[in-house]
Amino acid sequence: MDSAPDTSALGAIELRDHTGLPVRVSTAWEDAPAVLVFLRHFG
Amino acid sequence: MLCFAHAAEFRPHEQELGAAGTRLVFLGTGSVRQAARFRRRAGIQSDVWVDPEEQTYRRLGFARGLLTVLRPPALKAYARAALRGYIHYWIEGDPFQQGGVLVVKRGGEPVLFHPSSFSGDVPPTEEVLQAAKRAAR
Repeated sequence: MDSAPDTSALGAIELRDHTGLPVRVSTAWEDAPAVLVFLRHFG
Repeated sequence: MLCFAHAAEFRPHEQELGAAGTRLVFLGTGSVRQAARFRRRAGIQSDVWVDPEEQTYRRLGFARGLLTVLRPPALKAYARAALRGYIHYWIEGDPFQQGGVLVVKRGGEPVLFHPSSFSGDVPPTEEVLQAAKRAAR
């Protein structure tokens, strides 16, 4: 694995989902394991 | 095209991941409207989150730049995707930003982290699925 990222700082970032609702990144793994796929763009 | 191709790799596994209690989230650099359209056109059920300011991308140190898009292995990836029927119709988001894959346990401990060096540099889907199984233990 490439050097493990600091997920505590990552988790604090607030984004929006595809419906426009705000989401904090840490909610992805709050209650369950998670796979996060960072796409280049939406094309 | 590569983003659609990448999302399509996970589409057959969405239910399997969900049944195992693993959350699958796609993230991109476009707008909410673009994310909704991408989700619909890609035929995925998972959430798509938007990061137009690329905060998460910078935090994770993902590569960015023209050379990451035009390197020979990236051009090969475009060609492979085109042969599979993925044609580049539009770009919605930052075309020079690379992404990656992060698999974490409940609570956020990383199990797999793959930052893409160039377009099309993604870990094999099977490797991601195996990491998801380890994360669920």
